[in-house]
Amino acid sequence: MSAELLNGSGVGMRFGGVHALREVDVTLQPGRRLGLIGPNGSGKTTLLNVLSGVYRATSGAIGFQGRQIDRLGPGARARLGIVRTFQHPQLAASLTIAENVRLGAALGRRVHGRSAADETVRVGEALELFGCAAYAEGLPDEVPYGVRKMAEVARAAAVEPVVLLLDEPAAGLSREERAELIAAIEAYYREHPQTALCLVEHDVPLVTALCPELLVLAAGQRLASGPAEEVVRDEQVRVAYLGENVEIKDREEVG
Amino acid sequence: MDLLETSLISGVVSGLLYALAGVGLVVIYRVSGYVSFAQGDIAAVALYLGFWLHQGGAPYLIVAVAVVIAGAALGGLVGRFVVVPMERFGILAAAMATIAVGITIQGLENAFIGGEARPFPSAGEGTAVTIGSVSLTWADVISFLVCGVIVAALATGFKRTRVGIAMRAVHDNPGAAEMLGVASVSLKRMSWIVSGALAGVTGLFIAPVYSLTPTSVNAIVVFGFAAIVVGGFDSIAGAVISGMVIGIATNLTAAYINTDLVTTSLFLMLVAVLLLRPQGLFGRRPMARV
Repeated sequence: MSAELLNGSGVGMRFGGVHALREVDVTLQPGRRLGLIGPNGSGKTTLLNVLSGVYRATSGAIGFQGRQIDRLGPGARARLGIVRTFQHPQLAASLTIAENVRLGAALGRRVHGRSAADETVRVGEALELFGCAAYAEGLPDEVPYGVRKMAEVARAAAVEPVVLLLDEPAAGLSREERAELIAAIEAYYREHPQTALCLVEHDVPLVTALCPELLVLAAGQRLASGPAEEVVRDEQVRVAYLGENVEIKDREEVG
Repeated sequence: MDLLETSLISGVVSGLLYALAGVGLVVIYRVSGYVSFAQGDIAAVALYLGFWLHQGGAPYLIVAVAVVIAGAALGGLVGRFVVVPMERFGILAAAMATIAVGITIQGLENAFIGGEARPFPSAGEGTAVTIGSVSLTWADVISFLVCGVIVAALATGFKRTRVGIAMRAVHDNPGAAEMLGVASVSLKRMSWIVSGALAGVTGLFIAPVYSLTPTSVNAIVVFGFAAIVVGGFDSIAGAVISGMVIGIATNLTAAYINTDLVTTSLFLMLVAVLLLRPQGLFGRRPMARV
């Protein structure tokens, strides 16, 4: 098995005459936590869509554990353990929060060959970890927005994914909820240190709290990449995206 | 008093059959978001097969199993090759396709078999139980038990099983369900097979009472449709209760007012529920699709 889990090389995505992504390289190894930042329209979500199979890249190649998966749709990629969340929670409206999370655990059962009893345990753990247990029997429309966002991540975590792609999980959350989210993801990683993570987020302190490495996109191209401390001090990154006043907080401080 | 007893008890028995007819519609609705208007026609084809088998001397049990299998097979074929592929044009197109399938089946039956009423064998003759002044036949008792078991099993299946939860997820958000590895097209095809089998079972209890014609099952599926609208599309328990309410109400209408007003009373109930509580008496969410 290759050390690389998910690998996108020279990934390009065109919508008609618009180049949403150009020649982007991204590699996720087991345990790597990569933050994906950049201005609006820079191609972050497009890259997540290409990696998760929502879009098929118009150029370049996507590999997973040494095999090409360009032709696989999102369902097939999910069954390989590549799981994503959405910026706007995509929960099934007639399913309770617990049933939504159970969908994730059911996928995990297929991915990892778990027992039915284990599936139930995963649901309970994920609900508890992401602070949704009190709302388990509520429908998505009946619970606060923050709970819906957390449930979306809990559902993905219940899979115990090989690769976890999070698209702006903190968008719309309060300061307290963001702290809870970071704490929950950190706690998840203590139990699952081998999970590869790609986190798209505008909250740079949150990203740097969770991800030691960053990839910065601008106008669909790689602007910078490397250790978070270096990237956020990069002059080009500051000019294009961050501005002058960004501080990197310690993980403990944010969490 | 006898008339009231009869109306109440036969209302309950027929109400559970309406619930079963309704649940057959719910199975497809829960996955795809539309109702099959070909349910009664699929049942009719399966029942004609059963009728010929019976004519050929096959025992009732063989006839019943053959009808259910034929319903499942025909439902599966219609779903696989006609309706599910039509979903790419939208659920309205798919729902219209079920009407087209139904009309086509009726036309072929009328052309090649004829529309005259044919007697269909019953699950059991003779009095099985007497409640007060009302005698229930073995067919009534078997119908009640089979409908009850199937409806309970489906309610549990939708609520508790992985497949049931996945089906509801596909209905709510097909894209998100796919992102979680749910094979939505396979589930949709499966729902047509299950629904076809249920059409066969429902037909087995309708045809002996109303005779077998190309449209006799359809006439009762309308009551099933009413049961799920009144009860709520997302509540199978609601379909059972409202099926029985409809059964009792229509029986009372026939007994005390006028048999010609049975359908009128049914549609008055439908309109009242849709106006006052669009999600149905027991539904949690408003009905939003076809």
